[in-house]
Amino acid sequence: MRRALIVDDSTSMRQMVGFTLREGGFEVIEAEHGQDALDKLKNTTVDIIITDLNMPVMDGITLIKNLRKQPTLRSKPILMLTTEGLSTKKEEGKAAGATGWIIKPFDPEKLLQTIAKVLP
Amino acid sequence: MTTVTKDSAPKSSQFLTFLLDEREYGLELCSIKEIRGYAPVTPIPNVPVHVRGVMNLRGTVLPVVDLRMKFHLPVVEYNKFTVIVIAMVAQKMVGLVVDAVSDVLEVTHDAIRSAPDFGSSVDTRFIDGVFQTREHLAVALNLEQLLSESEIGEVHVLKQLD
Amino acid sequence: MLVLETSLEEKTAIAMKIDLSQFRDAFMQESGEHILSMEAGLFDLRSRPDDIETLNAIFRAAHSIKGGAGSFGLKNLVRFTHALESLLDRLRSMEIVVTEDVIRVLLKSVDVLREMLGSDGDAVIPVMMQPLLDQLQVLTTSEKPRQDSAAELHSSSSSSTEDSAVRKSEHIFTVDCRPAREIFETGTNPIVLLRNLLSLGSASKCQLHTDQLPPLHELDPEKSYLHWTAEITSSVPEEELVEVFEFVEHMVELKIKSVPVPALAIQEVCAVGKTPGEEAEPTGLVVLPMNKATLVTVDERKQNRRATTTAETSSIRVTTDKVDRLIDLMGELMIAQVMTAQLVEHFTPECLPKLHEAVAAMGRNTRELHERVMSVRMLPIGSLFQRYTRIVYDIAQSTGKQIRLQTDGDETEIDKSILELLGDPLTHLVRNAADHGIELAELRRAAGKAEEGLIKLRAFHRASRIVIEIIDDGVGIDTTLVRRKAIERGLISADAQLSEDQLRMLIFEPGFSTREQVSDLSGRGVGMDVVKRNVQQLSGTVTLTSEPGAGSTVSIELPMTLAILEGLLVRVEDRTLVLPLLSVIETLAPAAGGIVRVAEQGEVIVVRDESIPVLRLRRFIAMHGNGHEPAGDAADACLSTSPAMAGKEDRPLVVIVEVGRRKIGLVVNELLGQQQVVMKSLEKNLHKVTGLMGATILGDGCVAPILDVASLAEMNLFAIPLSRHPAQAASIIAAH
Repeated sequence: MRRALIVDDSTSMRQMVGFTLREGGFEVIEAEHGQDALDKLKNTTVDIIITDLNMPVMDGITLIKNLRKQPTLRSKPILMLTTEGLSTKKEEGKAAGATGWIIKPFDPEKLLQTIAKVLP
Repeated sequence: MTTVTKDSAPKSSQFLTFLLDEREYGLELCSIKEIRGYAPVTPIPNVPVHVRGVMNLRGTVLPVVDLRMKFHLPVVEYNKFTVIVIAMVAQKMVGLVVDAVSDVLEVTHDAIRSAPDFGSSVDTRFIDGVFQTREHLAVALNLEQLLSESEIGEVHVLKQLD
Repeated sequence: MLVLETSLEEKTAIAMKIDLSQFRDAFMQESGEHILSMEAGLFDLRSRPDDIETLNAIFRAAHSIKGGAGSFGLKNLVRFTHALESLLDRLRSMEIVVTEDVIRVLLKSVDVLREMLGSDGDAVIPVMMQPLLDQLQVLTTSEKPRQDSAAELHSSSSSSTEDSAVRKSEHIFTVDCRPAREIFETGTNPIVLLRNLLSLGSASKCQLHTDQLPPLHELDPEKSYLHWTAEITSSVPEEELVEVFEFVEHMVELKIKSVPVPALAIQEVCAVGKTPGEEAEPTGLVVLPMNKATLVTVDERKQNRRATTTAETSSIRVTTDKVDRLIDLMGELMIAQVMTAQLVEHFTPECLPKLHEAVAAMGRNTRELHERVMSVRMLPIGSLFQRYTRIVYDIAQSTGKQIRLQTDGDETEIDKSILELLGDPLTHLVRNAADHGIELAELRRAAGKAEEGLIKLRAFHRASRIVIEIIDDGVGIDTTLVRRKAIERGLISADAQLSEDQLRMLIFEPGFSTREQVSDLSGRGVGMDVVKRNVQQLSGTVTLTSEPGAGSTVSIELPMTLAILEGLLVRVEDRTLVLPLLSVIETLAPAAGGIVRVAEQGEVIVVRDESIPVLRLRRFIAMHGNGHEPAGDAADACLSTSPAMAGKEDRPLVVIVEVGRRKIGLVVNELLGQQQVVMKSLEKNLHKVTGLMGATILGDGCVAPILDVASLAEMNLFAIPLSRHPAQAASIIAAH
């Protein structure tokens, strides 16, 4: 089974995304912010990372930059969860190395479709 | 809107019948949790007289209501043959003291007729109707009314200490 | 109508719509917490307007609410939080300065949010929403005029889904794709792009170009050197093909040529059916059911940040180490139990000491387990206290007074259910202090006090009880005014002699109020008696001290753990009763005549120059609803073993108990010993009985009532008229 990591400081958002992912056949790991995600990734491998951008301790953009610095995660698909449809955040994310994005409010099917789009 | 076919049974419920002062009464079985013999009752202040007190049922403290007293029938002493019917009404468990338990009967709903005014000492708001058992006419009791807040609720007697 | 099912959809195999409504409750609750933290943050901001971290936290809270609201289609909520977010964003990037005005608008916005969430998201639009939206817009000085910000929120990713009605025209597309060298750095796999592209139609040609590929020793495996050309016949619009490259448009050189296929060539009917084999495997994972009793574990930091109780929540947040300790203890208890079982199984008299030990160990573990389980329900009272900052702020604003709220003992832990029940009484007391207690600045200045009034909330433990104090430095209570009012209201007679303390306690009587006008801030003066009643429901006491001109203090004392207490068993007539040992100060065996009857006040006993009122418990236990004496008790009371001498008393014992700051003496026949008792509620199956805290089951299986000394004390407060029933009067006199 494929494994996904969801990074978001909102418990209910994590639960919703997690539920959707499980429905889509993924095993789900959760993290509350960037640092938490990095810690969790020390011991596990995942097939895809989905992260919010606005989080305490370490935000999404910094997380993506940090992830891309690691050899094993340099080409891992990373999706940004963002409500800012057209703002500069998305550009920043792209520059940092995000693979794609999904806009909140998210449609569960759309989330799974987007994941399918970037996963081999 | 279901069509009733010829062979479908009319609605009915099971009733537990019991004796009080030689008269038969009935309670819907679904509210009855268990039937047990007499257990010691601890009196509690500030309750109506017919609430004799509370008893211990495997760790749960529940009130014991004397139906004879409730229906203003002559009071008897409790002995080892006294029966307590444990009933559950609106999330509350209550013990009802009766003379003896008679039977469990299946009673169809249309067999329950409205009570004639036969001068029973039981207040009509506690009566759902009457139905025929093998030997007697039994009075179907309304447990919710019988054990409602106003019936077993607290009576304030704070300033009457004298 | 032909519908092309693409392999993308097959891969995700969505057989039915995914339903997120089960998460709505969690979202509502979480948003409630976000609102509280926004409010707290805004107050912090007042004292530290430049704190970026606070601004960030407030921003994130609004952002979270917006995100979740969108998922549930709560459009108004989204619109509103978006406006909030815009302002907050400019604030945190220092483009706008935090002013008192800004905070005021933000606080009002928080109220609107609260209202919207309270009405389940979107059902009712609060009246203030539009005006506040305007105000927010003004503050944000947005260049965009009344632009419907909802426009931004539409999923802008694909335009195609709505109008992907099947075109009758097919095209042959030639797609030339050249990924940039660094494309792997975005986690994109070009082969996936190709796959996605080809799934949009039927491919006729696909050619890989290796001309850019360097020799092996120069090859950097993390760079992309390949590019390709594919030919695909499809009836989808070109935009959809472009969309495949949506995420990498900046990293890919894309050239698409299209040639229409003549209409006659459409012969194929694309099979629609789903490939059954591709259905999502059952995951075997249970999704958190968001029903009423959900226990959520978070770690310590989060617990302190987010500890909160809203009145309606029926879930608890627990620190993980509390849970861990519980698990450890469970393990120990199980071991002790197994040991005991084994000893009993192979019992020989020599085993007895070991058996004692094992049973004692079980007792210890059970006690500790009980404490720890109870502590799971304990929450810091700070979560309640923090509500009041806002209330005091509002009252200060509307009355023009200057008031500051200070809290002490926020970390004091208190049982969740008590916390919930305390909310209303405390609110009333705080409102009272702010409304009636603290004076206007000028008055304070004239009285030589600081212009800013202080309301202090204190909480601490004292002897297994929780004490909560509401202290204000306002005008205090004028007892002459109280007295006058009480006489007016017929609560006391004109010549009644009452101490200052007793006069102040009259405020807690129903129907009392020292304010002529009805103040809608603290109610019609009927609040204080409700406060007292609520506190009594919790088996607690409330006392009031005051110094005219200097201020007042309301003190609430509550028992800490309701369920297990140390009990003193006593015999009264033929009944066994339990007194909470903690309330007991001493027991006396007074000499004959030690209990004296004082006119108009009942009986007292003098102990070391202190005159303590006395209550004969046998009168209390004899009380039936309609004043009748108990019916013949031969078989039904739980008799104690010593011979009962009803009517005549053997030398009475007096147990002195402490109630708040007062003492009363309870007359009993015999002391039966002390033991730990587990309190069972009477409300569960019967109702709350005044004078009793509950009942317990003794070792012999009999039920014994546990007395509530606080309400017993109440029964003795006022003058006891001599009996109206001559028979009972006679028995009283005979008892002396």
